[in-house]
Amino acid sequence: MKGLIEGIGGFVVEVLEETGRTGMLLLQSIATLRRPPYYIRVLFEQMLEVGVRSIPIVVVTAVFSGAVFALQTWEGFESYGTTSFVGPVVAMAITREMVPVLTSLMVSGRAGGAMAAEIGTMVVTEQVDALRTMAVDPVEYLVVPRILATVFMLPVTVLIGDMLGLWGGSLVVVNLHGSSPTAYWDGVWGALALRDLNSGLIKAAVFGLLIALFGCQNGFHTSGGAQGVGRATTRAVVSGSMSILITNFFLTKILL
Amino acid sequence: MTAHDSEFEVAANDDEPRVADGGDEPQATDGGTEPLIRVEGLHKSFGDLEVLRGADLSVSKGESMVVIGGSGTGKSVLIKHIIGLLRPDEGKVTVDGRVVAQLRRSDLGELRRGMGMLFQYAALFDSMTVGDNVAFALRQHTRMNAAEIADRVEEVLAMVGLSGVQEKWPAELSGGMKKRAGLARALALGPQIVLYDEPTTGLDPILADQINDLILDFHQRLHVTSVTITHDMISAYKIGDRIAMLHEGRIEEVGTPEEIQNSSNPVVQQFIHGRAEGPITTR
Repeated sequence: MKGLIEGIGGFVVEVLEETGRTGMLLLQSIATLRRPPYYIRVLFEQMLEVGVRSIPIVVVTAVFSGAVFALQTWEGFESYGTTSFVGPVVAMAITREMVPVLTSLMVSGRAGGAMAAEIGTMVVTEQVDALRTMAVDPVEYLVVPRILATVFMLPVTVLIGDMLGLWGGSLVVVNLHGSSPTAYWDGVWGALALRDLNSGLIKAAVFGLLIALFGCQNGFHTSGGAQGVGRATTRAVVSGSMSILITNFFLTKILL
Repeated sequence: MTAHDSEFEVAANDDEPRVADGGDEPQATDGGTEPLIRVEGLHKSFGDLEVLRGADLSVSKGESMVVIGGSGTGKSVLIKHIIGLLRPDEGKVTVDGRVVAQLRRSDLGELRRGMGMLFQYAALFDSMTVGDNVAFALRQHTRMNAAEIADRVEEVLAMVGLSGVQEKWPAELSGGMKKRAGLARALALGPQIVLYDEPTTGLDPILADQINDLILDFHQRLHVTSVTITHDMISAYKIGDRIAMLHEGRIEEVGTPEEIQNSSNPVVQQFIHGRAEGPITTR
């Protein structure tokens, strides 16, 4: 019993410490944003890494999420004879929840993990110290471009994912169940409001901030060798994903 | 207070560095002017582990100081305080009259631009080519155009015997080449102070001697002040104007290579001769 309580206490302390460190990193990043230098080249490299190179996983995630959701809703709605509502329901679910959350989780696994691994490796091989000795602030050089790139590029990939998710739904509704494409797309566009798209994009920007912060923070707190880098990468993905799921509830409540 | 004064005075205290037997007082190379680097009563702990326990060291302008000591005695911790990578728990490090830990961000940046550091495993940025590594600080801190930077990169790479490797990636270099590239990067901005962290560790004796020759060459040609930490005694004797031995978190003894070789201090004798038995291993 004592061990269990100690274990829970230790976990809570660890979570609070990590949250505190992440908050501090955010404040440091905001402070450095106010003054040059700005590493534009690094920013574009990160936009390429986080955004463009994530497109393949976004395609798979969005198309299959849209298709599976349409499959399930068709099955349920068919028994009530309301399959004409499949398009509108798919549209709202895809743009408000499914694509923003699932895409962010995938990018957290890919880009957040990569940030932790890259910065963690730089820490254990003294490359971060080398930056400091050359009078370059690692927060300015490594963290700020990653935050900006993720905050900007995740909504872009989510927007692409939204379109692909709707197309995935049409594959099921139109191609599998033989429904009229006009009926499906009319239902989709009729139900979609700008607010739905915005809601997903705002969520994506916030999730992007969380992914980059947890990725960079865990990278900076890497110790030990390869094992330490592995632990930091795992922590970055787990913390990033957890924070996305928890934050999603509050954002949904605010944006509804 | 001069470099002579400070070390002569503390020699009376058993807890502080002793002057080696070979001379009446330490041989400052600048004729007794204020040291360029001064470490005073430096304490540093990591958790319960007390690494530095009042280390004192003075390095004169133009001097090549070598700090020796066993693995885990805090040599790297000491050198990281000099360039402001670590903050002391107690005591202070002064460089060119400025207390490093009290410097504002911009002043610390300015201080670091006048210093270069060679890391133990070179710490080259593995996402950049060798040329970009060497050019990195030039791009950040100078107004040189691309052609001027390329010329400077070629110049410093030639100084370390690595001409024409600009397009190679760090992973393509051997251990010795990495050290040389790291050295080129450290020298790119023309620093007045160069810190070497175990420059010959992991190299075969011939490569190690080539690195020693390079360090000596820079010291003599560029008149830089250098602090080298090593446990390679061949290197220490070759490149050091003076050698300081770090033991149990303090500087145990300071002297010229000859004075250290002739020291009657059993701790120094055990270390420089690499004996398994002695006061270091029995304390």
